[in-house]
Amino acid sequence: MKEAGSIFFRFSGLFLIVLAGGVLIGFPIAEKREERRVRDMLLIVQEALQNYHVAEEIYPREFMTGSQLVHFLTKEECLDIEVVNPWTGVAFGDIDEPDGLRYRTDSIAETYELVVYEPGTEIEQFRLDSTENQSLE
Amino acid sequence: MYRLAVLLAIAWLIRSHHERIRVQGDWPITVSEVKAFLPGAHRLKVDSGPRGGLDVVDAAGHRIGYAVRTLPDSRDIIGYSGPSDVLVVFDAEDKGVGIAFRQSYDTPSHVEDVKMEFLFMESWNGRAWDAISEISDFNEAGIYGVSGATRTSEAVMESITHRLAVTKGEDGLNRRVEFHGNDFALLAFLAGGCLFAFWKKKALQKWRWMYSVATIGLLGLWMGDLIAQSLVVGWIESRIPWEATPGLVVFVGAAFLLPWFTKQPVYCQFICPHGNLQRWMMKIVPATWKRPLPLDGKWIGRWIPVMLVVVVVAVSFLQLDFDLAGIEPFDAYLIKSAGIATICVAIAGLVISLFFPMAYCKYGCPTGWLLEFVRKRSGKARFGERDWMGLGLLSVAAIIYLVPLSVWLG
Repeated sequence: MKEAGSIFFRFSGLFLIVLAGGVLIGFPIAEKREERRVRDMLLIVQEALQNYHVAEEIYPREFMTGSQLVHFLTKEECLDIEVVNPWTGVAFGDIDEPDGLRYRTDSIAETYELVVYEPGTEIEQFRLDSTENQSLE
Repeated sequence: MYRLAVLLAIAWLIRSHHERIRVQGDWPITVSEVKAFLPGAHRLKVDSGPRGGLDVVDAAGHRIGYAVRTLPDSRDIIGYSGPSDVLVVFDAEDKGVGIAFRQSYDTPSHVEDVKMEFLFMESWNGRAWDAISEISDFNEAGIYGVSGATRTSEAVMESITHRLAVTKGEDGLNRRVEFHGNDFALLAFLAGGCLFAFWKKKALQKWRWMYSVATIGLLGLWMGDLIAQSLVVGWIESRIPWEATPGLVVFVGAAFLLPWFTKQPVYCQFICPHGNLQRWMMKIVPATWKRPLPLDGKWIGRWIPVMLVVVVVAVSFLQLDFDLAGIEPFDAYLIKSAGIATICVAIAGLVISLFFPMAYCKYGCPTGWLLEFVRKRSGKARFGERDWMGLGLLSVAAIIYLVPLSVWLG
C-alpha cells in the first residue's frame, strides 16, 4: 500500500516537473513560431509591394494595416497567393481583422515602410523598408 | 569516462548546430539547390573555417565542390530596392560552376531580368574563388551588368565578390593570451578551493570560514564570476574566450575536470559563493527547525535540475528568446544588472535552504547537477539512475539536432 502511494506521488511530482519544463520553453517556442510566420508573411507582402511599384511606379499612398494591405495588393493583382495572418494562423480574411503589421509611405509615395509591432504594444518587432532596413537578415 | 563522454557529445551537438546556423543563416542552402550545378551532390557539410560555406559531398563521401550564399554578409549591398541572396557554387578545384538567386528583396521584375540573362549568370563559371574575390573592375574582368536591371545586376556582382573577399579578413587575428587581475584572482580562488578540499590539516581547515566569506564577497558580489549555464552554453555555442579571460577558462575547466579526476566536488563544496551562502544561512535557524526531505520528495527533487538542463539544451538548439541566467541564482550576485527571475531564484533557494539544508544545491542547480554528473565515484561502476538521465539528455539533444528546425518552429 505504501509502495503504491509512493509511486503515485513520485509520478505526480515528475508530471509537474515535466509540465513546468513545458511551460518554461512552451511560451518562447510559441513566440519563435509566430516570429517565423511573421517573417514569411513580410517577405510575401514585400514582394507584392514591389510588384505594385513596378506596375504603378509609386507605392500605395494610404496608411494600411496588414489585412488592408493584403486585400489591396490582391485586388490590384500584385499578390496571387493566400497570405497567412501570423497572429491568427489562418489566411487573411476580414479586411478589418486585427494584426500587428502597419504599412506607410512618404508624402510622394516613393518609399515604403512595413513595420511589425509586438501584439498590443508599440514595440517594433520587425521593420522592412526601402531606405534603411532592406532585409530581414 | 562514459559521463564525461555524454557531456562532450551534447556540447559537440550544440556547437555543430550553431556552426550550421552561423553558416546557413535563416534560409539554409539545400542539396536540391546545389544539385542544379553539381548533379552528384548528395550531402552538404558545414565548413567551420573562415570561408563559412558548405562542402558539397557526393554519395561516396568525396568532396565535389563548395557552396556559399551572399546573405547575410552582403546585406548592405542594395540593388534597386534591396539586397539579394545569391547562391554561388564551385567545383572541387574551386572554380565557379554557377550562381542562382535564392531570395531577393529587390524589385521582382529586375530580379527576373537578371535571372533570364544567361550571359550574366554564366559569366562566373570557370573563375576561381580567389580571382573573383579580387575583382575590382568588373568591365576589365569581362563581367557586365544587365541592361534594364543594371543596379540589381551590379548589386549581385558586388555581393558575390564581397562575400568571397570577406573571408580573407578573418585571417591574422591577434589572439594572445593575457592574464589580468581578475584572472589571477580566479586562479587564487581555485587554488584556495583545492587547498581546502585536499589538505585536511586542522590548522588549515580552521580558516575555511574566511575563505567561504571571501567567495561570497569577492568572487560572488564583487567579481560576479560564478559558473552558470548561460556562461557554459554561450562558450559552447560560440567559442571559448581563452585569450580574453584565460583565468575564467581555467577556472571553469578545473570545475569540471577536478571532480572527474579526483572524486572531489571542489567547486560545489568549496568555491561556489551560493553554496557557501546557503551554508551560512543554515546556521541562522535552530537545528530543530530543519526538516529532512521525505524520500519521495528527494526522488522528485532529483528531476528538477535534469528538467532545467533539458530546458537549457532546448533553448540553445532552438535559439529561443529565453534568458538562461533567469533559471539560476548566480546572476543575482551582479546586483546592479540582475534580472527579477534570477533574484527570485536566489532568494527562494536561500529561504528553502533555511529549512531543508542545501536544498538548492541538491535539488535545484543544473550546473551543480552537471558537475556532480561527471564526478568519479568510488566502488564498483554500474549503470545507475544518473547514467540513464545522461543518456536521456543526449537523446533529447540528438533528436533536436537531427530533426529540422522547421518541425519545431514551424
